[in-house]
Amino acid sequence: MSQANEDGLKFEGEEAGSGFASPTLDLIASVFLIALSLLVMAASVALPVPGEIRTAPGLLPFIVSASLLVMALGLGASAWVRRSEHAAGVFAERDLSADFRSLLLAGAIAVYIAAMQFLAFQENFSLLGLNLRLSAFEPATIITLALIIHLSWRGPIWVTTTISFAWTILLSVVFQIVFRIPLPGTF
Amino acid sequence: MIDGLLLALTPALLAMTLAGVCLGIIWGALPGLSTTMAMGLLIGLSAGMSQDVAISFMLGVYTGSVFGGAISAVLINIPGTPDAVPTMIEGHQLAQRGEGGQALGMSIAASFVGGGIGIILLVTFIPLILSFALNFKSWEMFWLAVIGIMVAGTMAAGSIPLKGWIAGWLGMLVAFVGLDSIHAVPRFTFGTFALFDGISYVAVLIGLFGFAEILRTLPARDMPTIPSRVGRVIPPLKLLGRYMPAAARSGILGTFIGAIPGAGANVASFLAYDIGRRRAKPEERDKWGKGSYQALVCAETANNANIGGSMLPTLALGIPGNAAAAALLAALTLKNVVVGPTIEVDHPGLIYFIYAALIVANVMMYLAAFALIGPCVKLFSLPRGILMPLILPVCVIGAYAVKLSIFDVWIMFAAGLVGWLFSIFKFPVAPVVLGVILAPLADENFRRSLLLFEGKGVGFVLSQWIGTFLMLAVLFVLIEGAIRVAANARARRQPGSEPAGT
Repeated sequence: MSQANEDGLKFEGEEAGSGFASPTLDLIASVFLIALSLLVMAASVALPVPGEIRTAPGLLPFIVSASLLVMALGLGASAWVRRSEHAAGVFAERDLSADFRSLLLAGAIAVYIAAMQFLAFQENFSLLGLNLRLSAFEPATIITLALIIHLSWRGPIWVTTTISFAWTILLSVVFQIVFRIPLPGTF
Repeated sequence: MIDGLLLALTPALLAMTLAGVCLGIIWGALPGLSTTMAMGLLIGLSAGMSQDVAISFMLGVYTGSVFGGAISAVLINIPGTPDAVPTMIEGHQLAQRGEGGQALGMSIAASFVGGGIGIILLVTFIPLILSFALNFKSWEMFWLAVIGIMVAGTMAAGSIPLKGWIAGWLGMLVAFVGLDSIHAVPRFTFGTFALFDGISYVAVLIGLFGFAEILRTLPARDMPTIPSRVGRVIPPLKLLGRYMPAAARSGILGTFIGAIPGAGANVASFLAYDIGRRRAKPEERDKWGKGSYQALVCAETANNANIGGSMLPTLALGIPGNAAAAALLAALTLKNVVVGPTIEVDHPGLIYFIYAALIVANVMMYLAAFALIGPCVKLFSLPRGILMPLILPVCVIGAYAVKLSIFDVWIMFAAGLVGWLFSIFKFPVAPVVLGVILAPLADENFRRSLLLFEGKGVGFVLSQWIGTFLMLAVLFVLIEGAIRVAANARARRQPGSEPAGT
């Protein structure tokens, strides 16, 4: 993710932009965390205690979720104090169309993983003296990659299909032959 | 040590180190692909390697990718990782003056010097820390794990440490799922057999740093401008000689910051950059921010020295120095290598092999970097719409390879969605990884120490001076975080100030 700071400089990476969100978003996060911590606290208490309370399996989870509850309350209080700072809407600073595309992408990838799980098959064969296995990984990956690359890059379909075919076969051969790691999509 | 070096210099391991370094440099050079992401994805790949090969390969990737961020920072003004921001500020100014090649040459040399300083300090201090760490019992290990998670939260979240701590705590909750280590009672499994073995931290790591990055960057429309030419990359050793005192200071600083759990290369490079400015001669200080070679040397030396520093707590205490070191720790765990105070007893000679592999990786990085700048520039012109989807099957294989379980692929998918939501709600993700990895250590040692303290008073507990010291350190981190939040709130209330994080 690209993130511009106050000097107009950009940096990319997983920690880009961690810090204060809009007060409404922080309030939503706070409510979710309060609910989660209460749930985990209740589940920790409900766990069986085979020995003494000192070694109870739910002891540390209870302490961690209780302290998470305090932190969530702190986050909520901080968001409540800041609520007047943002006159603009909750998502005013976000590109909602990009978020929608991210969700669509996640949906497509969920279908891809489900295809490997539920349409699993395996076909063993030899090629140039090498024992190879064809599984649901190869067709599912070629189709998914071709689709995603076509939608995100908008290049000609034959180019996107060639790229996804070549990359999938390369990965399949390297992992099966060089690293001897079986691929998903088999039984 | 000689045996370790000879082993690391065998052709097969040299080839794997070189492959790791090259992959790391290219990976780090591509905007949006971070060191942790590379390390996380390649854990799965290392599962098919022998222990020595996996260590050489992973250390090669680590060393290469930390430097790789400098290439995109200098040439296209977009650093791959936060630690390359100071390099970008100075390096891109130099590139615009037509000195991009020389700036990159200086970055390579400074990275090599920084890596060397980090390794020397690692070799020097690890015996001291190991002998001290042998005194650590359950109580101390519990507090060390808590400190690791809290400091990681403080460092990653910046203006609001609370969000970093929450992220770390959520990571701990994830790690509690599965059979508990003392009584084998299923915790939070909801009757799902696949959860009895716990949630794979490799899948979580790949999801948070790999899949989440695809979800974040692929739908974005902005693309960097690609430079038409770089110029000749000259290794300016004479110029580097002039900045050697600054390099030595920044290297030492970078190593010590790396040794603080959670304080990554970004803290090291920013601090070295700032201290470098304060200590520079007035004529050099005037160049700061406008294309200073000394500033570039300070930042690059510090972030590469950080590698050796991050290995100190990782190897000596089993507490990862940063998220990338956490990934390395995960790879070692897959090879049944348990690092920590007893590493010398459990795995004799391994620590010397790790030193040797780091030295070889640093030399390889220096040599490969010059050769790879040209291909990296070509790779920058590869559209993001092609590049990011290609990472997707690597994420899937990486998550699947550890236990050959499609369930882990779903875990990776869920972790990726959570990572994407974290970016929307502006929570850092690195503390989650520290939480997931350190929670089992904290859980087991906490309950074991409570058993040991049975019937003893508070006075006895406080008489465990190392544990008491660590408890005070946790308190210090909490107070420091509260002060930071209060100072930030005061600054925000001042008229005309912009709300942070917007």
